[in-house]
Amino acid sequence: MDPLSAAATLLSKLAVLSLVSIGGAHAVLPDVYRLVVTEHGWMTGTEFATAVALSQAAPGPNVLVMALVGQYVGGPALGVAALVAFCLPSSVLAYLAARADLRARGSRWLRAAKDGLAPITVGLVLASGFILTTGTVRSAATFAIAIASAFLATTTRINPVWFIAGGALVGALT
Amino acid sequence: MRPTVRGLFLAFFRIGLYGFGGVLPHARSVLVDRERWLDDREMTDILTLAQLLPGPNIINVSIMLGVRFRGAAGAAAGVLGLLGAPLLLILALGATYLRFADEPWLKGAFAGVAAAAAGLIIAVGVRLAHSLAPRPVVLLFGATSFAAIALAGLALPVVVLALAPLGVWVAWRAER
Repeated sequence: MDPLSAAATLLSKLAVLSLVSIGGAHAVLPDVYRLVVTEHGWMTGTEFATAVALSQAAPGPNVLVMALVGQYVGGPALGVAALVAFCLPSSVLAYLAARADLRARGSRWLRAAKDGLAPITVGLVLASGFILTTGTVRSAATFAIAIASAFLATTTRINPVWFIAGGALVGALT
Repeated sequence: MRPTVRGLFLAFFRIGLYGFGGVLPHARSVLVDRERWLDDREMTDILTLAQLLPGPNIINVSIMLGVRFRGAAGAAAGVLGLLGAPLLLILALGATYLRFADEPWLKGAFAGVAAAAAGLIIAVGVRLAHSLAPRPVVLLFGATSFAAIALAGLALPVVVLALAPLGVWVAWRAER
């Protein structure tokens, strides 16, 4: 695929995903993974998960992973464009909601929306974890790292940066 | 006191740079404790709505707060403040990664980093799951959305458009 159609494919996919991204960037990772790793082979599973790791370890919101994926596929300009493509459609909705002075307080509809969407969001985030894990675990050592970071990040309040640093160390030594 | 456009930019700039491993806790401390633009309850209201809308929660917060105080200019200032500096930093990190990704001696380290990140996303999901009441309908919707994406390989738009209206309808019925 030539670079321009690759860029158009990535950006249009991100713009569509933006509108269904309940739960934010984490919820859409499986669809982005399938596009750039499984379908087109623009990145390997490990490269994709490393981009996720960088976006978690660096300052700023985790949505910056979209900039890294774009940069990987087509350079820094596509990185910026990918972030804009993913953020703009949902931002327009948020803008309209704020303009309409939508308030969360006391509305039965909003309470129902919150209760109804929460379990779906949880399922989507766990599906992301599952897809990333199956895409990166290639050895006993990487399996152990994934399990250990999942367990410790669930049961302790240690900053996630340490798990990523620990993963790098254990990965380098094994 | 009503913040200025410049004030919104600076506050979200601060939130963006603090946000190692997640931004939202810092948003509360800057917006409620430091700037006193909102009280705790207003912050919770904004967060609830930000989580219901599609898109990254913190970006939705910056837009809704910007619009409330300073209209479109306020929203733009909030988003640019939040994303500008971290975007430049992550692109620099990404370029460094691309430069060294093929070094054989770093392959193992990157494989370890990737595996740790995969585990962290699982932990995010498990923590979210703990915050829900373990009722059958909650488990049913959680398990269905997981299986639809992870096992059946369905596309997210299909899954959300099928499950979200159903989930909200069931919750609406349950509240009467």
